[in-house]
Amino acid sequence: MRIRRCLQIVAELHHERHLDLALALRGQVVWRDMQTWQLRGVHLDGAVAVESAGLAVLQQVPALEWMQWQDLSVQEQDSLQPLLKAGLVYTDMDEHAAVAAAEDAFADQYWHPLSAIYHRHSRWQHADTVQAMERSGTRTAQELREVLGSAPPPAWVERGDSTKLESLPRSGDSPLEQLFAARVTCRNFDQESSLPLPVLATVLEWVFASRGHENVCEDTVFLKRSSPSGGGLHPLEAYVWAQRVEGLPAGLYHYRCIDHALAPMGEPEVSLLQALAGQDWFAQAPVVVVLTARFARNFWKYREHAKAYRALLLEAGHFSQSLYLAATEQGMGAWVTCAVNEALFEQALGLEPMSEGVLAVCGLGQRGDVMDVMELDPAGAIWQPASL
Amino acid sequence: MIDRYKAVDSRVRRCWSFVCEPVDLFSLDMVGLISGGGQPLLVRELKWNVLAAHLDAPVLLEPEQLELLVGVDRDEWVALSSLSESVCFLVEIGLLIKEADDGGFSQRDQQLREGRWWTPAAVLHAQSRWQGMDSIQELAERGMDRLDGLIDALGVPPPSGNADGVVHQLPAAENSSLEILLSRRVSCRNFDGDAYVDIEQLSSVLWSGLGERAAMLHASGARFSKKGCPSAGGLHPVEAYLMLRNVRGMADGLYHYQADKHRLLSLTSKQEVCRQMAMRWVAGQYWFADAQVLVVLAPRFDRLLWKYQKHLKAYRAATLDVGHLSQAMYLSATENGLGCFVTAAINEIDIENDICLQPFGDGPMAIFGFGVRSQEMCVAELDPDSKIWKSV
Repeated sequence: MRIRRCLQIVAELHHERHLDLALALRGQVVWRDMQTWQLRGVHLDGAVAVESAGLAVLQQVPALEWMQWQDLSVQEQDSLQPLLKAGLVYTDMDEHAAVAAAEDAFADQYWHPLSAIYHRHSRWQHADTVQAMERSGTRTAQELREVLGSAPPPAWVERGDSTKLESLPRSGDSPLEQLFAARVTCRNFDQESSLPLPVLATVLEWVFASRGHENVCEDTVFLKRSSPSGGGLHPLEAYVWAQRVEGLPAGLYHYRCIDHALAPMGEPEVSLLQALAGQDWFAQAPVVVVLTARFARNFWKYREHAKAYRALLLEAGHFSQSLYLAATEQGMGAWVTCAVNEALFEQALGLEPMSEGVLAVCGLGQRGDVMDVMELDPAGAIWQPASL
Repeated sequence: MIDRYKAVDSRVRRCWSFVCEPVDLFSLDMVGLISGGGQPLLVRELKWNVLAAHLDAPVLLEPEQLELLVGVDRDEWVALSSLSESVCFLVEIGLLIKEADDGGFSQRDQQLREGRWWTPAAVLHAQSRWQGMDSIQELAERGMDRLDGLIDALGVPPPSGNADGVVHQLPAAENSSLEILLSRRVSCRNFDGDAYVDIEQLSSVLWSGLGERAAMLHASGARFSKKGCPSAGGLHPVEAYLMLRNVRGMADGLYHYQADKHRLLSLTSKQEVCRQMAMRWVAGQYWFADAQVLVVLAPRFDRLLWKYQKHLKAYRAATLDVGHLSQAMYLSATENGLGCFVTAAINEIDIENDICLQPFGDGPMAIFGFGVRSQEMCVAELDPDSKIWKSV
């Protein structure tokens, strides 16, 4: 049997304070800082904790070639068991074929190593942010301020020379300006009504449709969309999770930006509320749009590029802003969140997270008549002061 | 070297935030080469690539050096004289922090101690920053600054979306003033650097996404702004720093935008703003360097992480915020008849130096630029529908 190490592993020291039990028995309170290494790989979710001995034996195993299992001491072989089990090292036996295949596939994807680790490990699976907020008593801004114990750093800072202030003229009104002014994140949807299909179609077309394309050659096409994209590659995809749309069966759809059409992907097997990490005010939206990135298309140009992942997140932000404005123009409320259980959306959409990953999730629909959940609308753009 | 440290009886502790990756390096086995004994001639040597959030570049360590590093406490200061002489190297490169050093290691390390970052995000942020990079020259050297060369070098990109399966055709969208702006959004790579932007245009573009339209005041004095863009936790941590050249009624220079008062503050800069500085900021992308206004979008991490302490997704949320702002300004600049662009291929470190920012205070993530379009398209723009450029 031969063994090798996965190419991309990141180790981080994890610190925990422990009471020294021996001294505690003698009545002394002494805290000890316990250090363990947390190992993260690009094929596994979550970190694997090892002691420094585990790290030492990891060093023995090469990544770019195989080594003979029997060249390791029995002690080293024992220390490697947790790493084998986690899939940070693998053998040429059948039981590790999946890790070997994942390792091969990853090598062809041109991920920047640290971005890959960041992406993989900033995903959630079973988080419930609302429960977490309730547990920590931070559901309102008021509670948050109390629990965190300090005021947030100020809303703005005064940089530069205060004696040389240049006040800018207030900008005039325009149709666009009216949309910005009326943009208020919606947390109160009308749960009775369905979204008319033309409204959904309009928002999708404005935000995500291809508005033309340039064929460089037969197999190389660049799309024009209403948001900019790094290298003009437009690797972002939009999936529609329809809950209540007039004239469209509920279910999951892939938006075909070339055809301005929806391709059904069946009924979701996971709960939307769970996928939205318990944010029930968002889960009531009649339509949810999942923004994903097909990494290979961006990384085709930006290979192992330290900023490529940042550029993809920026693109998701552009789409989300357009969606907000488009929904507002159509008289709808909208939201965006990245506090989601990516792993559940991946499961619903059948995505492999390092090939196509969830970056953000948006929603839109008709507002309810009453503000049950707080929305930030100090100007009264949406809600009349009386209804607060 | 050790005497220098001992002479002042320095104390050290380990830096706060780092990760490390095992790396296999291969070297020629000179002994084997000479003896010719038929043994493999390449010898594997394992090193640890240490990526620290307070340093701008990775450092390669021997396993023994890593062991030394983690053997030093990260909280308590210890006398350098009590440690093995080999730690001097770790002090030199800044992985061990000297108390009261003037070199800046301790200051940046202290920021991270107070900064509530999730370590992988801090390291990714710190080490994805550039300094002095000319991204275009590098591409040009590889013949990849033109699409043909790019495809020659890289092959064909994966396709845009797939096209099989049963589909529901959607009705065509309505027209509206928003739709007209969305359809006219074309990233500008041809600016007329001699022309002027009006202050009303500058005002309008900044106001669209960045201006505070209303605010909710909390009893504690905490303030939550309402802006034209959404922001995680309503915190709106993104600051805007501007380089102005040829804006009517404004002196050329560096400015900070104050969202609440909708006004600009002059920043003192070590040097005059000029095209060369702009070129440095946009990493050599000369087609952007003549824009009259460059807006550096830089989240203030202390404000964001006040709420999202050690949060896995906080960095993502901040990046999305920057994206929202950029799209808002794209549409506003388009409405104002100006050309605009956004780029993340920027020299963050040079920008930090030019406007005196701490990298873990306000972190430049992108530059949004706008200005007057040229009459002629010299650098190609993607405008397949001829919305901006009349087809010839």
